[in-house]
Amino acid sequence: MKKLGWQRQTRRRPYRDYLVGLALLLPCMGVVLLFFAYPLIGVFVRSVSDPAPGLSNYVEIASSRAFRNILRLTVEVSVLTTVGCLILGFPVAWYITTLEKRRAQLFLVLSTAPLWVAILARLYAWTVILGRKGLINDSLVAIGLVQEPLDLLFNTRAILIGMVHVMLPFMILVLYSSMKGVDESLIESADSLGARPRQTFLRIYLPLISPGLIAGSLLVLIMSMGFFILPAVLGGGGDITIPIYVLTQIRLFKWGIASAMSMILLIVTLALFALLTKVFDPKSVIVGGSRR
Amino acid sequence: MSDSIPSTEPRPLQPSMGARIEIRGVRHSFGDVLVLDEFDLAVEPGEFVTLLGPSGSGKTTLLRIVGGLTIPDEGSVIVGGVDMTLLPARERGMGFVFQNYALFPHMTVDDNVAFPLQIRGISADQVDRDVQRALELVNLEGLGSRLPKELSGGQQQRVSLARALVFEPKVVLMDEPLGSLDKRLRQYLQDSIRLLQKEIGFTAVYVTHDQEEAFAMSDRIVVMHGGAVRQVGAPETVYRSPAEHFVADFVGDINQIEGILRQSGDGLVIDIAEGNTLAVPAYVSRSMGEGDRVLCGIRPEMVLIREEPMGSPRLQATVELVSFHGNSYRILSRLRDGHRFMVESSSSLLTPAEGSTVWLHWDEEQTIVLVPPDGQP
Repeated sequence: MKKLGWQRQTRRRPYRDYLVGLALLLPCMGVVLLFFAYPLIGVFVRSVSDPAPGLSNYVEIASSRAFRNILRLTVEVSVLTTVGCLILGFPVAWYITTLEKRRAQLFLVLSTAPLWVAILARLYAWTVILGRKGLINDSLVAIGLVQEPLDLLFNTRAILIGMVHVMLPFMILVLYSSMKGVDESLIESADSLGARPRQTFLRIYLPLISPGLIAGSLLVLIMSMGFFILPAVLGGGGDITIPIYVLTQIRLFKWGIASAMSMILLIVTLALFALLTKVFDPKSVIVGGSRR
Repeated sequence: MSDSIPSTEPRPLQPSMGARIEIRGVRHSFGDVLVLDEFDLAVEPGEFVTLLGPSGSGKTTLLRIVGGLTIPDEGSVIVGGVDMTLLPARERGMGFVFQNYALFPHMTVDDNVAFPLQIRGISADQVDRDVQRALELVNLEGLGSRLPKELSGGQQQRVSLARALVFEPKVVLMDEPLGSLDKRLRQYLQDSIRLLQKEIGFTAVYVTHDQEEAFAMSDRIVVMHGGAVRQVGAPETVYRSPAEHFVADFVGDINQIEGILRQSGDGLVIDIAEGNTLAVPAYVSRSMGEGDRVLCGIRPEMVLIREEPMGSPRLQATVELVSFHGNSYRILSRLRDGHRFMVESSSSLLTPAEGSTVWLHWDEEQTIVLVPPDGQP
């Protein structure tokens, strides 16, 4: 009798666990379906049906020189921002992993502190720093390095500076958590087996943190591609990225074109995503020379 | 470089003489905690020495200092006549086997074992042959294309061993390599490691807290406690003649009976319970006098159980529990003064019934007389 009861229980368990799991997933799935999948389909449908059914919107975009420039600028800025965040964030994240727990927490909080300040405040702070009568120009003129104030604001460089500034905390957080997960004994093991620091770094450390490199870069890249407010403020209207362009189309009630552009932005982002996972694939990172 | 000369023969792992290790006056602390204090030890070429001690005894720290993973605060490490104290691990050419295996998870078994060879710039053909040979040594042929996570714990540790041996180090350091494996597998790997070590001839320093493992594998055992050596000796010596109370207690089971030194005739004797007296070993009489307390240790397997008294020393006891352990019975008894007494008796002998009264006998010379630790009666 006892055995029978036990059997019944184990037989029922997996099904019940499955139901519980499903129930826990439902709210999230609901949100994703309702607020993401459905609108996305809507955008796609509109891009091929407004103002007339067919691919006319895409044809128009493809033949537009202006759009190609905008697309190139958007990708350029996003990729450069990602690279910049990687270069600046990597040493910082690594340094924090070497600290003892309390100091590490302090440094993490400090490096993410910018996130607490409203983004607009931070962006206008940059306009104060970079402007023609800003902090940098005033200083340069005052010490006589330049005669005329430099054009630091309202150009691609200003957008890049702002982008890296805004995205860096995310990169540091993601890199830190993946670096923290690297088992110290693996590094010691490579050391004891005779590997020089460069060999250990390339063949052991980088492949081990590649998930973090991928995740961090992905986060920064995707957020940069769709960033509207930052290029709008620091680019000063001269440098137009896709999100800004989409908005101007919407203001002209050209919903079809705006939708098509959004779709293209999505596709380009996905393509970059695929490229990124390839670049940081543990097997391709092995620069030291894999045998097989 | 010699590796540019193509070799036609599959090169076996050369039986090579291990290097001599000398540890002189090593002192190390973590913060305020002193983990090694004026530590001296010499390991002869080709010797298998085990550092045995409870956790926190400094044995792993000492191993890491020899391997170059930790730089000691003071003292020096000399290997093969070269002072390596400040040399980074990568330049010491020692094999180091970690407790958690430390296999590179993103590399196959082959690539893991090939790693130390590749970074030494050895030709691909040679690497292939050496990897093959190393995997054969640890009986892992055919598993080369697996990833570490696809192997069992024992297999992973064998890969780790192969990786530490493949570049033919003169010294191999092992930090509780079998700690997380089950008993059967552990015994099998103990034998495998010992056979390999004898065959190849490297000097081995092995860290464990398991005394049976230390006994089974070592030429010599270094018993450590509180950052210092408590006893160095062959396994038999450490077991039969422990130098002090800690060693006797830590190494193997032991029954402890209190005794008091008493004047008898022209010398001292140890008075234990029930009118038994034991001779006083020279090292005890040198430092102690009448009225001092000592501890008498008796190993469970040294005791004979009789239903009738027969010679001395002897103690009367009541059998409380008899448990069967395959090749032996363990008999838990209680002395008349209330203390417990453990006897291990060959299972081919008759065992007394639980509840019966018996006499416990042992050879007086096999009594381990110890000075009690400070602060205890």
